[in-house]
Amino acid sequence: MNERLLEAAGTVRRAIDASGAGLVERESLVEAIALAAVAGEHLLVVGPPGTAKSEAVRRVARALGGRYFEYLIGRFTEPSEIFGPIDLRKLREGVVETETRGMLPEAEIAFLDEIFLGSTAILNTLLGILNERVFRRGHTVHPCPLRLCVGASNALPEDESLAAFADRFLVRVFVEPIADPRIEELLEAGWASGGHSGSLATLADLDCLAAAAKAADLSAVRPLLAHAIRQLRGAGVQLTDRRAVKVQRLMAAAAVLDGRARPGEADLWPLICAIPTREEQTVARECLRDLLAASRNASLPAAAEAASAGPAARAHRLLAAAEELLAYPPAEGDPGLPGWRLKLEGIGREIDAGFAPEQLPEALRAVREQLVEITYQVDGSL
Amino acid sequence: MDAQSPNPGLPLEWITRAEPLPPAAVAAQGEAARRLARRLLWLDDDQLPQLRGICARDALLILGPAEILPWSPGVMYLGHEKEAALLLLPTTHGPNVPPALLEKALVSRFPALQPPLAVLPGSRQVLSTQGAQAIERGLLQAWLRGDG
Repeated sequence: MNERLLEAAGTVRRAIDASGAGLVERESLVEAIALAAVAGEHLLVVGPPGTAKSEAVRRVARALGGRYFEYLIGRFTEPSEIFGPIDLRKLREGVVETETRGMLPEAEIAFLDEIFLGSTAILNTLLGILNERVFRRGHTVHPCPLRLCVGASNALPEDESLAAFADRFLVRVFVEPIADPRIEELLEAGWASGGHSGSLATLADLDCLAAAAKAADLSAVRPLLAHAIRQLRGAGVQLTDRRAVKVQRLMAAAAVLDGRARPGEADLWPLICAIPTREEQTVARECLRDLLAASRNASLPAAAEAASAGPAARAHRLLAAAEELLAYPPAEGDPGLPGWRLKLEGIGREIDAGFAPEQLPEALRAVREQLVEITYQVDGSL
Repeated sequence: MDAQSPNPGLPLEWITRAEPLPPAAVAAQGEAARRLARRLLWLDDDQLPQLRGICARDALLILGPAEILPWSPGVMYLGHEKEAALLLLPTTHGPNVPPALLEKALVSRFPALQPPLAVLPGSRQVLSTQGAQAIERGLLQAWLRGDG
């Protein structure tokens, strides 16, 4: 990978980290948004209201820079609220032009909440923007700079025509309210939050990675993907041909974000993100367990782990977290010391609860030994 | 403590799980248990009551939310298997028989033990978690002194 690409991958990685900071249990959503953006695909997030869906998108948009548009769609939302009003001066001349300044057709990153409540007129126009990046309305036809659209909904649509529209959102993320044990963390993070302010990356970085992903050589991983799709079909999980083809874009984007030009077996996990329903994603994770075991990604550790439920991704995340903590140990008497030890203990717990000793990767075993040493020192002082 | 050992001739083997169970309890024996007890004493007063536990002469079993379960070297984490809600089994290893079958066998083998049952393969022990009590600093200190 050339230097510019590595630099762009590093910059986008830092933007992802900053976007996810303080968003409890939404790290994998933030990372999936970045994955979709690099792949040039759109993402649908499904979950109850008030689960930080919009906040996650807003943060990524802010961190990546670019023009952002968001709208909460209702049953009575007019197309002009999203695409812009009709230009009345031109209408007098008999031309139906839309004044799109500051509206969705000019946005680079968009978030549309309750997207399936949109009228046919809205959804049809959206289809052109999502598929072809072209805005068509009346006499107005112009290209859109849209990199990524995130749609949100409480549930997947049952209506067949809406399901066809929903199929345009390749990446699917399902979110739940925060689990009971993390409520304190949620409250604390919510009280302190606000996230980072300015942009940490630029759309130029994103475009650079997107171009590299588009040019990626998938020949090594294609047979693996084909095998996985056959296995999924055998398990009753149907992926439309369109989705099966487009998954390759996600795999290429994952590799590029991880600093590699050639996707490999570690990049199969985005396949799970492209499976349309929560239930089928669960089945797929189970039936592809062996194929997903090598999944990992340094830039998207939470998404890779959530998608694959694989030990390699889990080990990678734990290793990175432990190394970060061990690199900066607070001095004796530092008020941050108890918190630091608690975090290390949490890593020790995840290692011992999540890996049988015979399964433990060598690097993680070495980290665990350091944790044991630190624990003995603390234990001796008790 | 209500604890019993299964028949040593029980043809049961433990195999590594493909996916670990979420931890719901932590168990330790011998020196590891004493270390665990000392670690528990280090917890804040608002965290300690969130945990429940069972003390035996040489073992500790602590139940509570995964995020605050303590860690120290030599402990073993246990979790709930969907197919055997009455058992707490090692998070990283599962039995080589269907968990529901093991549950049925253990419940009928040890009628004196009130389920849920924690299964500790290392020491071949089965503990009832029915009597688990809120952890108290004084009790832990007494246990560490050998009075518990």
